[in-house]
Amino acid sequence: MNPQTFAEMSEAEFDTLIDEYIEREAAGYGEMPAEIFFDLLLERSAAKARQPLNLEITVADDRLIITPDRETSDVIVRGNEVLVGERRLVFQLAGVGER
Amino acid sequence: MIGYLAGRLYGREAWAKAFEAFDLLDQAMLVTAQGHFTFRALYQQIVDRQMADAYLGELLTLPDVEQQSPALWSHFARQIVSEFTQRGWRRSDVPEARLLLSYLLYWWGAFARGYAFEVEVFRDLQNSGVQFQAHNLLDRQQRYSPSDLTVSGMAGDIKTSIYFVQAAASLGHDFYIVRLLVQGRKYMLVVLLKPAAWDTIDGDTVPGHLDTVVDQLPAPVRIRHSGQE
Repeated sequence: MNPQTFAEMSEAEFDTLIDEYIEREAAGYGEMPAEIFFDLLLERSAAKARQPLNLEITVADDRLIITPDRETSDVIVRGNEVLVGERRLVFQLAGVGER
Repeated sequence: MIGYLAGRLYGREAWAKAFEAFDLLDQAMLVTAQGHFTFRALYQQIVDRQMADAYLGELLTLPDVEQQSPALWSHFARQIVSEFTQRGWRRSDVPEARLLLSYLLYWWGAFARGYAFEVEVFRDLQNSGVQFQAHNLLDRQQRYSPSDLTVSGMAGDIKTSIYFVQAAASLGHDFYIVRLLVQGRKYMLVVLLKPAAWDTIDGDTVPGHLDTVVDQLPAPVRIRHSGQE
């Protein structure tokens, strides 16, 4: 019987799962069935558009690092920058860098 | 998640549950002596910042992206597995850590396969003589641009199907290019166009519905859903 959870797997079973995943993905496209894609895309797009996107900000060596709580394709967050549509928002720590 | 990794996701509910699982893991935490880190932050720190540029640099040198990029993807995927082990996160007494490795590999797949598909499409367009402007993948500023390419003034995105659904957001662009598995056996490139973009092309459409669109492809199908076309 296949293990139902990661906790039920032995190390060897988990290693095999990961190895076979990498090999299978390298052998094909790994795309979704079309009929499920359309259905879930519209359902999740509608639901996600209403959810807030939370940004966590950490400071490392006077650099701000912004991390969103999820990946979303309409707001792009990288390093200290947030891109919303055509507008790039650059965040800096007060007193550091250009003002 | 195990179903996804094992290639055993069958049916809408199984896929929906897998997407939800990866959503939940965004905020899962790894607790170490150095602090608490979300899986999302760890992906950015360990995978995105360390491997993304190197992968894209090599990807763009491949003469045949479709054939050769999967091996490049898997080479970096195995590096992620090694990194996970070297950092001491492979702990048999903490099986939940396996969720982290699964999460890192899933998002690496989304990133790497997504950009490989993008390069394939760019080269196809180039070879077909279609005029377009694409963002420069090696320039981080341009890579994270709001759209991947512009054709005849229309902004579009190129996405793999799994990433498209996982990172679902409002569909703001004029068009989207996606590759789908049709009738369980063949892959098809599908372009989703907003009505204004379609009107620019000005062709005939076939009225359709979400339930019938798969059978109607590759015809240009016009769909109305939740009051939108």
